[in-house]
Amino acid sequence: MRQISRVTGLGAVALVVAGLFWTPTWSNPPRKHLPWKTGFWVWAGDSPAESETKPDLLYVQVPGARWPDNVPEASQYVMVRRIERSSDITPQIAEALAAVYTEVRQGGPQSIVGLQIDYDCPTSRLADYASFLRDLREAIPPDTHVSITALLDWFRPGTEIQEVVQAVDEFVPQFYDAGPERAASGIAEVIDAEKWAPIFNALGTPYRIGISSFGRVARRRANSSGVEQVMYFRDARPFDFAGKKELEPSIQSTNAGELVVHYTINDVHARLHSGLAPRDQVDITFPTTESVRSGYEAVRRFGGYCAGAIFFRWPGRSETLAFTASEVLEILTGTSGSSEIEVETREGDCVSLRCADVYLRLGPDPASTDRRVSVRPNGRVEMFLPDGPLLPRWRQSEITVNIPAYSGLRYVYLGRALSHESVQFEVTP
Amino acid sequence: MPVLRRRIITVLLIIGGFVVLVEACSPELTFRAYLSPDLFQPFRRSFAGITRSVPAGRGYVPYAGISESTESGPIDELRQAYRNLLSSSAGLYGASLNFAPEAVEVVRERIRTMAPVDSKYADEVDLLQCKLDLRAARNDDDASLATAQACLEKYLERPRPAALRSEARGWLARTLFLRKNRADAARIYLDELESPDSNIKRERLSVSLKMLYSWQPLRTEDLSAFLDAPSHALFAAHLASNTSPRNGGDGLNRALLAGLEEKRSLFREGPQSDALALSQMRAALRLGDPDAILRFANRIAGTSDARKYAEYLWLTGAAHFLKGNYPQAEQFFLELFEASDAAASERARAGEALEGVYDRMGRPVDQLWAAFRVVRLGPEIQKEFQTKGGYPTSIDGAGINLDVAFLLDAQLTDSQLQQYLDRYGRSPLLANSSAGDVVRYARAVRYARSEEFDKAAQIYSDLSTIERADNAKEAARLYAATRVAGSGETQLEALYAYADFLASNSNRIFFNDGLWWGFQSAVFTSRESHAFPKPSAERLTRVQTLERKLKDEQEEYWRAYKVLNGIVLKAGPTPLGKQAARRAIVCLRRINTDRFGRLDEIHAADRRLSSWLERNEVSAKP
Repeated sequence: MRQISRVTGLGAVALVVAGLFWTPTWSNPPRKHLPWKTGFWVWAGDSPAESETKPDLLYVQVPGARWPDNVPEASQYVMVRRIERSSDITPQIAEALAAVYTEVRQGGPQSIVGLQIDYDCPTSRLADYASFLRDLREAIPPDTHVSITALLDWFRPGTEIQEVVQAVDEFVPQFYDAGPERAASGIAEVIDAEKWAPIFNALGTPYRIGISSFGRVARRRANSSGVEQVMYFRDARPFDFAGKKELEPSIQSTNAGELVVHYTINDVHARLHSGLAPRDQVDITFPTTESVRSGYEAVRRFGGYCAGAIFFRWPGRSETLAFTASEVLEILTGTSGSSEIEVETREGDCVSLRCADVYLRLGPDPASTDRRVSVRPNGRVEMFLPDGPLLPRWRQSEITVNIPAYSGLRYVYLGRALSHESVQFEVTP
Repeated sequence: MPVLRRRIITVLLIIGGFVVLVEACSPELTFRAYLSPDLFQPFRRSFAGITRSVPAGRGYVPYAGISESTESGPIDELRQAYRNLLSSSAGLYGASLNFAPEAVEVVRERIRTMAPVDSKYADEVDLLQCKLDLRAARNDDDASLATAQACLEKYLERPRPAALRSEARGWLARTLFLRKNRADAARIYLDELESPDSNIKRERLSVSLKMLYSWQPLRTEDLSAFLDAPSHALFAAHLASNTSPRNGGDGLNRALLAGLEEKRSLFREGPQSDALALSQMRAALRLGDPDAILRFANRIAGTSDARKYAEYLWLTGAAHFLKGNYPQAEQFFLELFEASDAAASERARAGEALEGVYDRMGRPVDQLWAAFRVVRLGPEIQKEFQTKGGYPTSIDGAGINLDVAFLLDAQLTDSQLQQYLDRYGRSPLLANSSAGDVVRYARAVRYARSEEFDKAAQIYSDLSTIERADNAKEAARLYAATRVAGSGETQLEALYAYADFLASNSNRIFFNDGLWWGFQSAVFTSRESHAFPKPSAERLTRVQTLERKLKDEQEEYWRAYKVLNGIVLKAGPTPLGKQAARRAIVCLRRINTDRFGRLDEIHAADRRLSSWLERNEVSAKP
């Protein structure tokens, strides 16, 4: 009897000690898995490009208290609120956010299902962030799907990340711009499923992975001390630099499969953009079918609580450096266009004559050589009104354009053909 | 080298010499530009922005509550309190134009409790009240924005100093924008742009206008709000023209066209009205509606300067051309062609369009006149593009002009050439040179082709083209010898000498060396291999007949072959016959079949003569 009591006592002590150091994953009830979805972030600033694709999910940045007017169609929406790193995250802010969310949801479409907080919390303050999220959870309507973006640094050992993700329904680790500072070139991070899946799945909260589908133009300039400073141009396009006389590109690929095209600016080329000066270095990062596909295939290997991928981001109307939703989905399903050039004719809405708007589809990845393309009609054209950036010419019954290498053009307008009868165009071999 | 010969060569060099130095591209060729569908595009891809130059002497004064006071007192304290708001934190909504209500209330309280100010500041204080209403309102709170709007509208009901009035209108526009009334906001900004008294900087007005429709495009249902003044309608036209077809641009432009058809009064107010009419002409072109182009052209007053604008003349001419109204099209293209203040490239396009008009009207002599005039513009076109940058193309009238060549060498009859000379005589082509001389030269070549070598020699001598004159004289002598009655043998030897002379002077007897510059193949073969869409059978036959005739007539080797072949047939396997056969084979093999054609026929003749020679050489051996 004394033997049994001693064993029981020791066992009880062991249990207490274990309880001090061990937080079992089932200390909270296991979470339901979320359905697999593919989504996009729609960021405020530029009017979103139109698309015929209706994605599963859109995460829409809403800076004010009103749902934006021309958000693309999707099956479901999550409102995104960005909190600046320097901001305080107090209970009052949580309450105000909940109120704004409620107001936006009331005035917005029925299919707004949740709120995502985009906050680059310093890793040392994750406990505060967790507290903030709990306050938010209490203030917000109970059926709200609460999501957060997540920095990869939060997941190193010894942080309070577990507390943070327990307070939410979903977290979205971002595998792009993951370094301490944004780099001039390269955006996407290699997604190592073997490394990250065990870490994310152990947290017991559903998650979706943030993948880059966009590119960037950056300028590097050395200051008087020789230190390089980087500036990003939102109003410059690859086409502004491509094919320019004596502006030779040098090319690299990143580990994640993106393409980086580099130019060194001289006196003449400084005129290409008001922010350029001689000796500046320009780096243009292109997303590629490889970078998007390999990222997504890696996400598919996560298993566990992984519930899909969210792409950053839905392009703006005038952007050429971000894949459209259609392009992304074609890459994922393997139906992406090859490097073959295709012509698309769309009937316009004209009055006395028929009109056909002529577009070229150039393939998703930037071509490494200059190309000359001709398209011809299958009927008589009375008038052709050239348009678009390529300055098309009508020569000997064909429209001819020169497309420089690394132009970044994937879908380009050539102009409008007016005719008495309907015409279609085809690429001339 | 005699002066006139030098002039002829200069002229011929100019005709052929506009080679555009485009890297990795073949030279630019101008040939029947009026058949190219892109000739009739508007001169400019988008019309100029709606902001005009700032009226001279326009200055700005600080807004209400911002200026530094020159004296201390209640107004100074109030201004200081208002300026303090500018450094307030932005708050949750991040908009720097909104302030925390409690901070705004502090300033309101100061207004309520401060001592009466000098009446000269009353308007400023009144406006400040309205600005505070706006500062306190949340961007998404329509009720508070409505309060701010009411305050500003009430403020504007009374006479106010111009600068404050202008500022109040700017704030009213912002309020309207926040309340999603973009059209009314735009109209205020546009009116401020037009106003010499505006206290809002042009850059700010331009940015505000741009922002109104950058996120969400103009909608068809918004258009009617802009149809109250030409400047407003012009803004809507600007937006519509920049809306792509994929984003509903066609529907927008059609709706605007239809709306403006009803608003005749908008087209009676001077330059803005004219600009509006021009914008609709462009829109109508894009919508394939030549009738609408002409209707809006007629909205421009007969006395308006706009009726002389290149764009007006061009679009009106294009509309008539599209409708097949060639006499009317001629009138407008001619006016543009002769407009000394139009750009050289615009005039050249008008000239190319005129060639099309004359082609359709069956007036080849005038067509030649227009073609020469386009060539004459060459140096001015080069200068224009040197100044403005870029490379001129064939529709700008640049490049090697083959219209003159084809008209002179293939299309016009002899009598039509004479008509040109009679009608246009010595009209200048370039300084110190004459298109007439080029025509005379072509006339001489034609005489040579019809073996009237004496006449050809006379013209060449008159033009001081000595080498050609000498060749023609020698050809005349040799040809005359073939006509002298004599023994069969003598005549055949004379024929051989004539044929041999022709074969030894390729491109120097029957070919018009100054017109084609080696690009004849590009014209002829392009017509044959790029005859798509195909012209009517009748027209195709007529053109192909012309080309075939020219090719046969201008080819010295072919002419020589025919003479030599005749000798073979008559002389038989005699030494002269065999010599003729050998020479004939050489001629056949030297013909440039890319330009000449008849490939199968030439090969067959070669085989026939070669076999004949072989048979007769073998049979001659012992």
